[in-house]
Amino acid sequence: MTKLFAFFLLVLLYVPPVLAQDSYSDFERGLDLSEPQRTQIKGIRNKYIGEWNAITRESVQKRLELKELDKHPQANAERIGRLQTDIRELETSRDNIYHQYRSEVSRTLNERQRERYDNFLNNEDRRIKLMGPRQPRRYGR
Amino acid sequence: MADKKTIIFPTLLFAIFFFCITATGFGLIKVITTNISGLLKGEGEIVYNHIKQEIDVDLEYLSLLEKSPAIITPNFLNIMISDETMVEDLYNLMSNTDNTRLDQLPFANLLVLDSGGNIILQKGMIQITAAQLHPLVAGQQETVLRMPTSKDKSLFMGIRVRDRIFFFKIDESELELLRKKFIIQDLLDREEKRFNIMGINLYDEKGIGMPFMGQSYEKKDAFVLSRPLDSKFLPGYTVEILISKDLAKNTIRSTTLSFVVILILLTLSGALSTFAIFLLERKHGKKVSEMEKEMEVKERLVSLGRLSSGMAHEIRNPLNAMSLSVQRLKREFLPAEEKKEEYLAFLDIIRSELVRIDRIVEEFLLSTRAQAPFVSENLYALLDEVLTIVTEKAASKGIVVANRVDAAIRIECQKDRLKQAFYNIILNGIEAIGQKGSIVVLAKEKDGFVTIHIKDSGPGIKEEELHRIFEYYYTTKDKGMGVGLPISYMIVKDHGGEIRVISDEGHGATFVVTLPVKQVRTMGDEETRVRAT
Repeated sequence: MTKLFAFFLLVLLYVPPVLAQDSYSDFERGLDLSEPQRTQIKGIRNKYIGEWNAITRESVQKRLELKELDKHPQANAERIGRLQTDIRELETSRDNIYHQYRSEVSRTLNERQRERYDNFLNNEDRRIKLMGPRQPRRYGR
Repeated sequence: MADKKTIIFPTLLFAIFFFCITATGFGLIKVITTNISGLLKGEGEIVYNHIKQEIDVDLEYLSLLEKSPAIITPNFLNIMISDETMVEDLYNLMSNTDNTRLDQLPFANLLVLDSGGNIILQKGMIQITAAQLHPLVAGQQETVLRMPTSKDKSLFMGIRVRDRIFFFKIDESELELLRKKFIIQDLLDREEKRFNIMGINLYDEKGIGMPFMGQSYEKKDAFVLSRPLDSKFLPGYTVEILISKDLAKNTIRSTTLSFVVILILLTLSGALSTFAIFLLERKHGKKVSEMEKEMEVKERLVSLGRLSSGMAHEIRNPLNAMSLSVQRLKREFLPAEEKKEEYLAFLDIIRSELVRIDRIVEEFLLSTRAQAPFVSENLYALLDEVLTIVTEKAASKGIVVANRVDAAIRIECQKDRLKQAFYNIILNGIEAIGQKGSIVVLAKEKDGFVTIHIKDSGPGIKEEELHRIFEYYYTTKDKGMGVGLPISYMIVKDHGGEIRVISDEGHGATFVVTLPVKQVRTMGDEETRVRAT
């Protein structure tokens, strides 16, 4: 009975932050961006989006390469280690770029918008941490 | 009959009690089961709301992927980079597909070649350049990949798996559906793990057969919550949440087990209690029977005592007359000189016998004088007086009589009567010993009572005689009257005490007299505490 209640409490602990979150449309509508702000923010987005896409492509290539090497892990141990480091660095780089992007956008907002912006993004951060990282499926195993 | 009642009543009472406990226990288990079902349902509802919200959030971002929202949020970035894991997912799918299931691969444009570059299977239209084909055929590379760009939004991939080379091209609409499936499947997988849920199925608008997402889980041991997803991104879809009943079953099982253990313990304790009641009732019945018997003996003793007392009084009157007559005969009717001496000798004999009869009657009357006052006496001194009387008789038979009573013990008693009681007991001991032996008198005081042990070294009393020795006129001696011990018994009882005999035939007998230190006697409603000196 105790286990059951503990499980129930765990569910309650996880769920409220997510259920409390607005949809993106509501969030953007709530920000009530002026036209100059919107133009400025889109400019920032376009500046960074190319970098993210490039990182994603590079990360995919390295992950596939890692998969090939994983077939003979002992023979390729050094290269595997190097690739794993590269992938981690790409992820860090992506995170750093995102922080830069976030700061730049934040500077374009007024105080009310910034508070709403920070709340929404912090909620999403928390949700992502709770959900854990994405994992590729392991077919047939 | 009494025994049957003794058993039936507590058994019946216990059976009713047992039934009530059992009914309450089963009621409680039912309540717990209902509560657990409610809890599981509540948990399912929470997970359902969570999944719905998650799907809405993720699919909203997915729908914005091409247009790109004004603000890139962490969630959107997460969706943007989901292609990374999706490509890994596709790689795993290809790696684990055997040759018999090649046509089941979910791609509209697919080309499967053997290691020499010969076509095995082709679906749809797919263009492959020599630069893409050659490295795979030559074994220089194991994968070829072209990610979607703003110009070409399709995804192209080639993989060499053992002796097969796969090429597939996923166009924009197919990729959108694939992303959607991948994101939802990934979401369901993570939710299952995170909430430790048996499974989550998502059914499309047809709602039957294989789920659109998830697996065909065994629903037998699961609590199933099925609800329309009610999402604008997946209209008509139904979500099915399967929560394992193991935890609930374990909880109910352990509760039931505890309850059964309690019932077993209860049954055992009930049976033991019933048995104990039965034993106590029997013991009580035996005691009541003994008390009734004792009362009967006492009543007989009292009535005999009264009768004897009356007779003694009646005897004393003619004795007085006879004594006076003897005096007149001695004084006024002296015979001639030659007969005078003989005449006076006979008169002396008659007179001394009359005196002896008078003394016996006097002693008897003294023993039955129950209304005499109770006085605090030193027990040692009282017993010493008794022993002084019997010592000469004992010594003549070579019997040693010892008084080992603590000199500090005092007791409220009718002194002369109690002396009579001890005298009778000790005399009985002397007569039982016959020649040579000992009689020891001991006493100890505890909790307001004095217990006096009169132990003789005689032949002891046979077991069948033990319960009769206090009966009037019962004697095993040739010259005995059978009145000494009954009188002792009556006197001890009149003092609110108890008398019993412990005897091992051939090893002497011990009379145990228990007397209260202080007397509290009730006469009607008035309580009279006896005078103490």
